[in-house]
Amino acid sequence: MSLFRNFAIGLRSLFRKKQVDRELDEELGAYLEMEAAEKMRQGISRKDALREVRLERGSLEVTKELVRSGGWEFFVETCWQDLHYSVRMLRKSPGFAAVAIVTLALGIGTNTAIFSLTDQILLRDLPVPHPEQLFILRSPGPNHGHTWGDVDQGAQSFSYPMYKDLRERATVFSGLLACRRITVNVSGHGETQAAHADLISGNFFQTLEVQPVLGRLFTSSDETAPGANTVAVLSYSYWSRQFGAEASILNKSVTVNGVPLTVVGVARKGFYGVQIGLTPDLFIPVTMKAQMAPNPNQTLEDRTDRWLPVVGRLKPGMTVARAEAELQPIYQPTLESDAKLLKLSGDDFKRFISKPLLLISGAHGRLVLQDGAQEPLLVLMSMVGLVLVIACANLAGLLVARGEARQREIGVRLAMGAKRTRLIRQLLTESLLIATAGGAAGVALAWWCLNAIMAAIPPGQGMLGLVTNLDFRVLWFAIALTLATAILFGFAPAMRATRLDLQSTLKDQGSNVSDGRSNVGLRKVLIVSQVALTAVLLAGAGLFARTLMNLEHANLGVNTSHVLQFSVAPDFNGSTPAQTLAFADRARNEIAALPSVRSVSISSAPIFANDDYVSNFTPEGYVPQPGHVPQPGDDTDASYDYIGPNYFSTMGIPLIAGREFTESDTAESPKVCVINQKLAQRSFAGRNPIGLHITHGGGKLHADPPMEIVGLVANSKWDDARSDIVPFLYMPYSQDKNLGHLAFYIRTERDQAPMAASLRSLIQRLDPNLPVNNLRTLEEQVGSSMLNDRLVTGLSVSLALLAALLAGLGLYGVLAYVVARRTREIGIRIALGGERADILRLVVGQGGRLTVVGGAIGIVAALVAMRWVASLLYGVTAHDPLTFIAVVVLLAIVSAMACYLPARRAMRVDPMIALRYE
Amino acid sequence: MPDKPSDLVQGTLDMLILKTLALEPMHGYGISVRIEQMSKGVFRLNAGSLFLAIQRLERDGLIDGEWKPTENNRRARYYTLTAKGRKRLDSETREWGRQVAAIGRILETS
Repeated sequence: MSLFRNFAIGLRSLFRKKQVDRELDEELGAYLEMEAAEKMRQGISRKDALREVRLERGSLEVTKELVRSGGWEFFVETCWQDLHYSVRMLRKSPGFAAVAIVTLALGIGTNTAIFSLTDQILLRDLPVPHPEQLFILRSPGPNHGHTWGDVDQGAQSFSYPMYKDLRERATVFSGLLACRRITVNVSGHGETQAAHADLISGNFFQTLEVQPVLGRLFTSSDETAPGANTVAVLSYSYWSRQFGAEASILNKSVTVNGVPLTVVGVARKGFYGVQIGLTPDLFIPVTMKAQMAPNPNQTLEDRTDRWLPVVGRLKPGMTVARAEAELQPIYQPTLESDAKLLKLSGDDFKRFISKPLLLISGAHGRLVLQDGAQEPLLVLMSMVGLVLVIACANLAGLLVARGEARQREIGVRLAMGAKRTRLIRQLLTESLLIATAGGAAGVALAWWCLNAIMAAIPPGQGMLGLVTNLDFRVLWFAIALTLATAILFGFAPAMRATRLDLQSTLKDQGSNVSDGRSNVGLRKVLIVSQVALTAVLLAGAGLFARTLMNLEHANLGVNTSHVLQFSVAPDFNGSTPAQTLAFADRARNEIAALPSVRSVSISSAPIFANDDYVSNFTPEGYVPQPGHVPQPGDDTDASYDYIGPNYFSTMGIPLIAGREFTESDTAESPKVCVINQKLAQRSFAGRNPIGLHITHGGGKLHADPPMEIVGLVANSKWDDARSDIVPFLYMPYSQDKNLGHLAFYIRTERDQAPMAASLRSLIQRLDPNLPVNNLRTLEEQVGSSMLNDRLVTGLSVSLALLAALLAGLGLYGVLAYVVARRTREIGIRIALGGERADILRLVVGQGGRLTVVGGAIGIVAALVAMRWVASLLYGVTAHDPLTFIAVVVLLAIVSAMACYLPARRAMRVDPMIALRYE
Repeated sequence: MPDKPSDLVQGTLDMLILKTLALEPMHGYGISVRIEQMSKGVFRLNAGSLFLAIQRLERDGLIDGEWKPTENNRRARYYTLTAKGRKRLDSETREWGRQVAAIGRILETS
C-alpha cells in the first residue's frame, strides 16, 4: 500500500516536475513567510526578518535540493543526467567510443552467430514433447549380409523383421518407431522432381506425439503388408511450398516413383522427423519400401538386409541401464536366428551373436548430416570464444586507459564538491553505455554473419533447413560477459580515480617527470594476453588456410576442368536394369552427338559424392584361411563401380596398360574389369595383371564367375580430395545385373554453361518422368566436398585477422599513452643531448617486449592447442614450421605498425614545448 | 547548517512529528514551532530535515497532506495523522519508553 503510494508520488514528481517544484517552492515559501512574520511580531522590520530567517535556515535552494534528493525518483533523474553526460563525453572522444563499441560488437556478434549455427546443427532438441525420452538403438559389431547404413558403420541399421520383433516383444518402450530417409521422384503437372521422403513405421507419429494440421497421420493400420499401404503424409513445408497450403490436396493422389499415393494428412508446422537439418517432403509407410527404394536383391521381410534406423520412447521412469538389460534377452535369440540364416560358424558366429543392443540419447534426433560438421563447429566455437576473451581484454585496456586519462577531470570535479559515489556511478554509466551500444552492434553483426555464412553455402549442399535465427541464450551470455567486463574494468579505475589525493592529482602533470603511479602494469598484462591469444588464432587460421590450399591443389587423379555431370535414377520410376541399360546407351549416344561434346561416359555411382561401394574381390591364386568369412578391411577389400565406355578418357584418368571398356563389352560378352594401380600392387605385386582373373565376392553368399582384367589405370581419388587412394575395381555397367542409378560425365570443348539446358531437355525428351539431379560442373562437385574446409578456413582467417587488429589497437593504445605520459621525460632527454634513436628504441623496445612475451606464450599455447585440430588438417602437420614462422612475422608487422605512430610522436617531441607543457 | 537537533536520530524526529500531529493537523512551520516550544528550545529543526522527514512520512502513508488557506491568506500544506500513523506513534512511543527506561537503569547502576 505505502510502496504503491511511494511509487505513485515518485512518478508524479518525475513526470510533473514543474508542478511538484512549484508546490515545494510554495510550501517552503510559506514556511519562511510564517517564520518572518513571527520575527516581525517581535519588532524587527520585514526586510531584516527575512534576512535573518535566511541566515538561520540556510538558502532556500539548498533546502529544496535536500528535500528533492530524498525520494527514489531522484536516483532515476540523476541516472538520466549521467546518461546524458556519458553520451556527451563519448561524443567528445569518438575514437575511443568507436574502438570500444567495435571491439564489443566483434566479440558478441561472432559468438552469437557461430553459436546459433552450432545450436541448430548439434544442440537443439527435437521439437516434440519430452525429447529426452527418445533413444536411438544401436548394435555395434560385425555386420553380415547387406547393410545400408548412414552413420555409425551401420550399427544403427536394423532389418525390418528385426524391428518388428523388438516392437512386439520389448516392454520398456511406450513406442518404438522406424524411419529411413530416402530420395524419391515425385511427378505431377507434367514434370518430375526429386524429393526427400521418410519411410516410416505406422506408429511413427504417435510415438513422437505429433499432431496433423490437416487430415490424419498414420496409424498401425497404415503398415499392413508390403506394397499395400498407398498413402502419404506431407510435411508442412512441402505442403505450403508445393501445394500452396491448399486443404484441397487432401485425398488427392501424388505420384511417387510412379506409384499413386493418397495424401491423407499434413504434419504440423516445424516437425521434421527424427533427423535434424533436413526436413522431409513426404512421409510414406515403410511397407512401401519395394516401390520407394527399389533393390531387386532384398525384400522387406529379408532378415539379412539391415537398413532401418530405430528410435524408441522409453516409458516414464525407465532408466537406460534397465532398458538395455531388459532388451538383451529379446535381442539375443533374434540375432541367433539371423546368424543361422547367414550361415555363420565358429568365431564369426560367436562374435555376431554377442553384439549388444545399446541405447543412445535421441533427444537431438539422429545426427546424420552432422557427421562431418561436429569437429569444425567445435573448433569454430573455440575460436570465437577466444575472440570474445580478446575483445574483453581490449575493452578492459581501453577503460583502464580512459580512467587514467580522466584522473584530472575527476580531481577537478571532486574539488568542486562532487560526491564520490556520484562520480563512480557516472563512470559506471559510461561503461554500461558502451557495453549496451556494443551489444546492439553485436546483434546486428551476428545477424549479418549468419546470413553471410548461409549465403556461402551453395543451395542444395551441406545442411538444409538452417535458419538465420539468432540464439538469444548466447546473445545474453555474451552481453552479460561484456557488461561484467565493463563494470569490473570501469569500476576499478573509477575507484582509484576518486580516491585520489586532490592536491597531487591537480599538480600531477605539472611536476612529474615520468609516468607516476598508474595502471600501466595491468594494461601490459592485458596486451600480453591479447597478443598470446591472437597468436593461437593466427596459428589455427594459418593451418586451416594451408589445408584448404593443399586440398584445392591436391592431385585428384582426375582432370576436373571442362566436365559437366548430372545423375538420374530410372529405377525409382520402376525401370528394370535391362531398361535402364538401354536408356543409358541411348542417352550416351545422343549426348555424344551434341555439339562441342568431346566425350561422354557413365558411372553407376557418382564420383566425389561420398557414395561408396565396397566389396570383396578375390584375385586368382588367393588362398583364404579356412572358415574365414570376408569382412570389411580384409585384404580382398576393394571399392568398385560400374562404368561405361570412354570413362577413363572422359575423366582424364591415364590408362597405363590394356584397354578401356568399349561398346563390345556387353551383358553377354565375357566378364571383364579394369583395376587401379593400388589394387594391382596389393593383389598382384610384381606381376602384370592384364589377362589375370579376379572374382567378385569371397564368401559363400556371392559366387560370381571370375572376371578377366583387361586394363590397368592410374590411381585417382574417389570420395574427396582428402581421401586416401584405395584399391579400386571398375566393371562395365552393361554387366551390372542391378543397374539402377546413372551418373553422366560429359567433357566439353569450352564453356559448359549453355550445355546444361540442352542436356536437361535431351533427358526430358528421352524420359519425361526422369528428374535430372545434381547438374553441375565436376569442379563444383569437388568444391562441394570441401564446403566444411572452406567455411572453417574463411571464418578462422577472418577471426584471426580481427583478433590481430584488436591486439594491434590495444598495443597502440598503451604505447600512445606511455609516450603521452613521458613527454616531459623525453623532452628532458632530448634537451640533455639524448639521441633520437635512443628515444625510438625506448618506445619500440616497450612495444616489442610486450609482443615478444605475448607471442612466445601464444606460440607455446598454439603448439599445444593445435593438436586438437590435427584431424581437420590435410597435408600439413599441426606443428607446421612455415605456419608458425608466418604467425611470428605477422605479429611482428602488427607490433611494428602499432609502434610506428607513438614512436614518431616521441621522436618529434620538441624539448622546449615538452618542458613548458602544463 | 549547525543546528541543535543534529543529535536527533532519524527515528526520533519522525516520532516527534507524529506526536505533534496527533494533537491537531498542522503545517510545516507549525510543526517546527510546536517542537521547539514543547522541547523548550532544545530541539530546533531546520527546514531541510523537517521537510525531508515529512516527505518520507507522507510516502509511507503515516500522514496525509492537504493544501489549505492559512490565517494570513496564504496557502500552506496541512498535515494530518492517518490511522496507520497513529498506530506507528503508539508503538514507537512504547518502544521509546522501554529504551529510555533500560538506558536509565544502566546509567543508574554504574
